[in-house]
Amino acid sequence: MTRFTADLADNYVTRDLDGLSAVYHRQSGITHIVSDPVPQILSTMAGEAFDVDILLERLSVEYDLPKTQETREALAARLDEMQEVGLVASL
Amino acid sequence: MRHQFSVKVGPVGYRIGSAWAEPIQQLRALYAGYPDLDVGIPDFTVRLEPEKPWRRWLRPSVAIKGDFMLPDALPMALRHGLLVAEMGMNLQMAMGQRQFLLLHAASVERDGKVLIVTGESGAGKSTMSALLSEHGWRFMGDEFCLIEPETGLAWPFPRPVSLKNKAIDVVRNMVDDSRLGPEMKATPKGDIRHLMPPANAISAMDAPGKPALILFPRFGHERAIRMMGAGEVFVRLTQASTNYVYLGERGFTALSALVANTPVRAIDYPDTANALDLVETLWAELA
Repeated sequence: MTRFTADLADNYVTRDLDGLSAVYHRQSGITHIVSDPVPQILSTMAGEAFDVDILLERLSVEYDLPKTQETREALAARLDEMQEVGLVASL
Repeated sequence: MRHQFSVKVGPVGYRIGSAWAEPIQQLRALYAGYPDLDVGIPDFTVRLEPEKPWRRWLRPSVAIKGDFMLPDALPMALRHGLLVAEMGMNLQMAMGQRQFLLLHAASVERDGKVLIVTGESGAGKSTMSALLSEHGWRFMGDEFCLIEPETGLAWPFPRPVSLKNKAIDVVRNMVDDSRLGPEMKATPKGDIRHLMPPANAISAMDAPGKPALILFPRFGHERAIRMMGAGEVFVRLTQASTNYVYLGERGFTALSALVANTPVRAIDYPDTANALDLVETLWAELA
């Protein structure tokens, strides 16, 4: 199963924008405007490598996320989107 | 260069050199009340040169040169030399400014608080700032609003107002003719005429203010006020900034603080009376 990783938490600066978040990535200098659960994924994943099942496990502990097939699919879709814009990388 | 002119506008010093006398004479007239450079060292230099040496005499056309250049900038006719100089000054600011976060916006001040008016070309930024500065507001600029990242303050950049097309007639009815520059017909930006800012805008060009309201106006629609989400505001202000990316994290921090701390509305207005009334109404409610 594909594993993903995100940069260390210190490499991002996040500001709330009334329900959205502005995430500035220090390394690339790129600003991303994102919605939940992207900031939560970044902070949970920071510096580590997870596949979607482990990520769901961790997120469900921290954020009261139901461990259903639907949630898993949604999470996998978000990871693909985040990979496309360079917020996470696949290993 | 043969003809030279230097001037300080807000925190920025310019030196403009020209192969021709006329654009420099026009600049001297337009910037008559402005101070010279503080210590003689300009932040930016602009050079107006003939595209080819012989073109100084034969159908002269002006090329903009300076610290920063656009490789595909087209030469323009000498009769529009003043506009070329102004465009050159804007270009140097847009590409070279590192001290401030630059927003393509007009700004005016009252009671130490600043109204920022931004939006696309034709939204009425210049006209609104010219109107407001004739109605009790201090004019701070019609082209660039300078946000200081460390303090969040908006600094003035009170260049002469660049009035285009119909705005020329709107403003001509309100001000003395002596404050208007030469009319330049059929330039690449349409008809252009510059308005010298009121004297208090120039004497207070070193006084910043705290941003208190941001408006995104649209001209030519029924009167309306709309809320805007912080995400949309953030994205539109990055689009309105010419140097957001260059500033890196300083720009991000400055812009996110501006969005978090300043109320924002989009307004539609059918005419200048409604524009003034909308500004005063929202200012009383939000600023």
